[in-house]
Amino acid sequence: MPRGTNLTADVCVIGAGAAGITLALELAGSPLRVIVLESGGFEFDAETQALYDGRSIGVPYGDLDLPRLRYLGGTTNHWAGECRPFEEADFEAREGIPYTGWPLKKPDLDPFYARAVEVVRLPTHDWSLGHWASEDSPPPLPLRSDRIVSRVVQEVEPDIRPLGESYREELRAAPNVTVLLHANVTAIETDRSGRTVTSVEAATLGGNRFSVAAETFVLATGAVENARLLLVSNDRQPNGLGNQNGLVGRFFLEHPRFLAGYLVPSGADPNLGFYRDHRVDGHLFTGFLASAKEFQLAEGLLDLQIRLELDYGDAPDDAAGFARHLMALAGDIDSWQELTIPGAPVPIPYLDVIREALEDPEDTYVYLRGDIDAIGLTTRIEQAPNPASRIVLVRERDDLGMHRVALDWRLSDVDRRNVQQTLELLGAEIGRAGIGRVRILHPNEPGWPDDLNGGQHQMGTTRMSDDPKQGVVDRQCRVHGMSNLFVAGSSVFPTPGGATPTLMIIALAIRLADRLKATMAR
Amino acid sequence: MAAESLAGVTRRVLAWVLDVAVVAALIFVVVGAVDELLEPTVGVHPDAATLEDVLSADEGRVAVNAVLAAGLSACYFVVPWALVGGSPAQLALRMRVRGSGSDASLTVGRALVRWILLFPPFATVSALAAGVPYIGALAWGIAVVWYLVLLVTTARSDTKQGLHDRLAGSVVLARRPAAAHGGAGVR
Repeated sequence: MPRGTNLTADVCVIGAGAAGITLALELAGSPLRVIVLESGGFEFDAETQALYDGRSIGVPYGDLDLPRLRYLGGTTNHWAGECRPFEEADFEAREGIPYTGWPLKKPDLDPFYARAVEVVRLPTHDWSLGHWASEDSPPPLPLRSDRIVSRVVQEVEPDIRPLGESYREELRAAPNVTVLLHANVTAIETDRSGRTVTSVEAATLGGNRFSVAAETFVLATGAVENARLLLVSNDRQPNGLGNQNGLVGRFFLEHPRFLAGYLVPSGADPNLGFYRDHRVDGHLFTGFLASAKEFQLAEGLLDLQIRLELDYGDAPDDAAGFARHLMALAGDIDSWQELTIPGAPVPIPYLDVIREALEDPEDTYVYLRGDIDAIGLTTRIEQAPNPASRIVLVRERDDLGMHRVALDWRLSDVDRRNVQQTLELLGAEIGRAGIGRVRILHPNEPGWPDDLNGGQHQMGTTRMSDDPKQGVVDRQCRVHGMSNLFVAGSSVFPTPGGATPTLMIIALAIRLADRLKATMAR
Repeated sequence: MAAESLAGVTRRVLAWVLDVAVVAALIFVVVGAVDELLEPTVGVHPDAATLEDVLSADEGRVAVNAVLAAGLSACYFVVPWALVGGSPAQLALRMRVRGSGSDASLTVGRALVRWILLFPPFATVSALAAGVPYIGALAWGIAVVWYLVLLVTTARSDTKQGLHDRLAGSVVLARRPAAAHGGAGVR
């Protein structure tokens, strides 16, 4: 493309991850001319990924770019595929927890969830225990009350998860959709009023620059980049677009996770198959534990997932540890019986067993050893909205001259209280059912444990609210104060819910696409 | 011309180790090839719901593999013992096996008995008893004791005939230069 080219479209979508690709797919075949600008190419590229680099200046978060991938398909390129819709209570304001509550309700989104299921090709829109805890599945834990409940996430098949790859041909074939790769948007330009976007400036790492003018623009670059692009676009609005109330970048949300406790089972094998990845009728899903919504509402808490992770004792985290494990395995005669070719003069493992062991030595050891010391209870907390938790611009600039960002991740007392109270409840229920005992790690400690990290779900920096003083976008995902700038993706979540975000991202993108098709056709 | 003497324990153990390595590789390749052509005998399913289901074995194929591996092992030892008087490793280390009491080659029957005594189907018993408490471990425990018995009886025998040699009626000879032979050697 010649330098300085000015492209035009009806809709310009910035970013080709879960949200951007869904938008493009939904707009394909419509009368609207769509240009999708994707920073990366078809494959991972370290130089492009480095444009995401940023600092963490709050609660330790790890590498800011780790959860994200900057090429076609975006973060779906390393997505675990877990899907579950938000529940009705997730949309409600919680007493005593400020900034909770969505302007939308569950029924508003149900039709779009049903379509989102089709995008990721899940077998059903049914997440009920009745559907998944069938006779073909290991049973959920037999708890005696409904204060702790088992829930399921469906898992998208691995070959579908990278949406860029899955829908590449479909996008290529769409006559009204053009996807431009290696196109990094560096600024959003507006008219003099600063209320209408006229074009976006794009640059390649090779030095080319061009612009795209459109009637409507949709930011779909993830929670960090959406905020960053709005903040750096400050030619007409000194604080950045949509930031007249200082909210852009604030309310950064995550699903904080850490090892919160152990379940020590009373039996040798507590049959936790329901809580491991497994298939029923060929469909992949896994179970988890959570407190009931009634408990959350009564106690003034948000949601909290508890994942059960089998703990087999010493992990082979170094060469000496791995050698010890191999020795243990070599001495484990019962394992060799199953894995070796009978009739041979000495134990010879089968080819497939060797293959598996080479691919994943640690897991292979775990399978073979086959006895459980304890069950790790890992949390995935629905972080309470906190305005101090935010993305900010810093002085450093990336290779394209854009300010980099820093994450000042802040958590709240209610997040910590949520873990403590939910695990106490779980312990009581587990004990009452005779399943075992729960040991809470770091009980009643005010701070956060060293292994605290994000759940790789970045959300909330352009939150949705009908009130411009409470949110950056309205219920239609349009930036408050802007006539033609929309935001897609998890940055619009006012609260993160207990579920994984991708299905919601896709559902909201479908809803936005419908809205654009309906309004722009007029 | 090379003279012969009774083969020492060290050289015989070395030959045994080499033969076992070769026959193990042979079995691995053949069974691996069959597994590649058909479905794997043992499946590893990391996504299985319970630990018990992580490994699955096709019992019929296990039995076929047992027969296949045992047959390969028997062919590897019995045929060369009976036809050319030594397994590949024994021949490479300049040893031969013959019937005791005469200069005759080992008959197929005696070779078969010797093979059964030297390579008893401990692995088969162990594999087929997978999941049965203690049987597999017991089989391997007996195997260790059995090989110790063979080693000790061979070392302490004047004719270097271990229990397996005496029961099969075999003796193992080593070739060496004529000028150096002596002692209890047999010409």
